[in-house]
Amino acid sequence: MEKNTITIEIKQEVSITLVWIVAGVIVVSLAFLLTPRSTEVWPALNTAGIFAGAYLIALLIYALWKPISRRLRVAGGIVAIVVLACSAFTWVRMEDQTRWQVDQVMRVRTLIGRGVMCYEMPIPLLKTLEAYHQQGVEKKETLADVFRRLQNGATVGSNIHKPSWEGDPMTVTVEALDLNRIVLISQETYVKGREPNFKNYDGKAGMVQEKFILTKKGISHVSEN
Amino acid sequence: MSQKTESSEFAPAFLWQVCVLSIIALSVMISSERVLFKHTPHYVEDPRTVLFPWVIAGMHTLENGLNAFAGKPARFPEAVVQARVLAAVLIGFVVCPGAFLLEWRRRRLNRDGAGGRSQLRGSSLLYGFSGVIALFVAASIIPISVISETSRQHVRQGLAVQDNRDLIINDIHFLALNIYQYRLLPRDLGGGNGSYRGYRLPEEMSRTNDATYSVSVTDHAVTIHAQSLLYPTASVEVKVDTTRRLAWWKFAGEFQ
Repeated sequence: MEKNTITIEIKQEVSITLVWIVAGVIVVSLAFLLTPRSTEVWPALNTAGIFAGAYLIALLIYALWKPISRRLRVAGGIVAIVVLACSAFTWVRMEDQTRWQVDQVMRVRTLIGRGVMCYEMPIPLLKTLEAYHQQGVEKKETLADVFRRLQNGATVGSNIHKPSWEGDPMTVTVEALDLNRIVLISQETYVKGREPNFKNYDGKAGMVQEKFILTKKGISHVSEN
Repeated sequence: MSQKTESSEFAPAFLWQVCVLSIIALSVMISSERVLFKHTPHYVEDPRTVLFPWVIAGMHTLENGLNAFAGKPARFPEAVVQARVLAAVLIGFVVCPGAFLLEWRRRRLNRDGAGGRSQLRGSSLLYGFSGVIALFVAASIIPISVISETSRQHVRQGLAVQDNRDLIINDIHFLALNIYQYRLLPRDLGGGNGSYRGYRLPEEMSRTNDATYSVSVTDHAVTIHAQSLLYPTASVEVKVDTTRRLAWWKFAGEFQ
């Protein structure tokens, strides 16, 4: 009779263990899988993490509940709080750090894009300026004439950028070609600039865009977005 | 009857049925992933850890960041990635701590009550295995959080210096343009008429948020000196030649 009683108790404890684990697996899995689909893993992971944290706290309270001694309860509780706090801290910091690194990557991309534009765009304008002033005091050609001559007859809307490599997406477009005023524009096709609502030259919105203006007094630069 | 019941803690073949089912489920998931989705190259190497889900999620975020850098759209996490993350949460935060703590409590109470030694059974193996995993996660999380916080500070500090340096180089390119067009312009338009002699740095270009700038001029070259405002020992020096080319770059202090 006594042996039978012990056997039932053991079975009950195993059942309790299985119920705890199965319930935890189901709840955390549902929290993870039912989170709306995203290109990031974080939303689903954070939701599952909140449920897993709540589960762990409930589990710890149950596991350390009486008749476990007070000394063990206090020690176990302190260790659990430290481990859970460190886990949450590392978890949150990792999310913050990876997002920051992605921001940095795009910041570097923006800087590279602007740098290339600001190096490449003045080159045809400087050549034009040099040729224009080499004519001396009596000018036979206007700035527009010189520019067209040096840029193979470029007109308003022409892309005068020669691709540096196959698939080079950069364009340098002639926006204005007045007698003594030439405006060049270049923009990124997918790198976002400062103002999200800025209307780009090609109709897109919010992309990096740089403008250089040549007059006979020199070149001026406008960082439009 | 009671002898038989005590020796089989779980239903017959329960444990190995669970193991076989788990292996089949994992195999189906991984093989369907390979069949359904073409292999796509990754910029970031897959993390080797299976216990820290935030590492796997972080790698996916970085992967998408590098896709954005290359102008590609962000990708949804593949089923394998999601399975790994979920498995890591379940192993590290549900199954192992659950099995370990509940078995620990059972043993504790049995020891206090009956005082007998338990024999080696399925639950003992599960207790040992889950205990190792749970204690490994618990023991490693403190040094991991300290190390990751330290490296995070190092990365941010390093990138802040690099950022300041890049912005100064960017400013220098604009200065070089201003200097070179001075050379091209005739004297009546305020230029040097083929020489750099007489060039003066415009007031608005001599100081930005990043650095202060000064120039020393000869007929055929202008040397630009940039002194960082954020890192007082850091500076950049470079020479603009007669073709607008920037040559003889010198970086000092933190910029080296």
